Amino acid sequence: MQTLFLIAAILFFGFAQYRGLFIAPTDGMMGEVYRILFVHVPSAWMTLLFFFFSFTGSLAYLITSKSKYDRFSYCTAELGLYLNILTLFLGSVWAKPTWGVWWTWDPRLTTTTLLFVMYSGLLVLRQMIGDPERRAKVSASVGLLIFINVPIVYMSVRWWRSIHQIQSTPKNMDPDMAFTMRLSAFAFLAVCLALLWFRMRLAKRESEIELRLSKPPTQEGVE
Amino acid sequence: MTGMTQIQGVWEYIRAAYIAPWVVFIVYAIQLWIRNRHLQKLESENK
Repeated sequence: MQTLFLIAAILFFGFAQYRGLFIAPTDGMMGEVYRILFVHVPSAWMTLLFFFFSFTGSLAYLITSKSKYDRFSYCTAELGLYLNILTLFLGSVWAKPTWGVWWTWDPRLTTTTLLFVMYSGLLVLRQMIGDPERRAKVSASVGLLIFINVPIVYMSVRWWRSIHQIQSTPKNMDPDMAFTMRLSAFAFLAVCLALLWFRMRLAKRESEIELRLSKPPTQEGVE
Repeated sequence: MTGMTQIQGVWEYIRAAYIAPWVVFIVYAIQLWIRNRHLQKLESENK
């Protein structure tokens, strides 16, 4: 079932990319280069969405103390971090032909980089704490705290003077372009959810093994 | 077109942008596979 979902998601993703590359109309002002946005923008959306998922997992863990929420929180943070790296890379690929530079310390770019640093820190922090309960509590608290940067990233183009353009809406986009953008976003979401499904199963097994290894050997178990 | 010039010679960038998500997904999938192998090894050692 999981594998089938992953294959379907990959096919969907391939179709969305094909549409972005060959079916969506050429932009009157920017020409073909705008096609990068069909991967960059959904990647950025997914980054923020997965960090939001991580935030909800942290919150749910602090309220209920159930380990499944801790697993959900760090699995989504991990996937979000991969998407964050992808977004930064795609942003650079977009910046070079349009702005003339690979990188500039613009508010959107800077806050997105900070997001990467913060969530990398969170995952490193998890590795440093041995006790599972303490680790879950600490990382849930830190997860709640660092999520504050997510709305800052989103609003940075409105709050500060930025070279990065502000969010487009379907109202100021060609319907074909808007449709391709949405399709691409759902394709990204499908692949990420399929990968998350695998990751969550793996995380559950990791927890079970950790629990088994941390238990002191019983009298019967000692040779 | 009203006197504006479209940016030319951009297909290398577009190609890189469309390949990058595949690279990320494949790297992540490989990471999951390696972890899975490690877990299987641990499980067989602790049976």
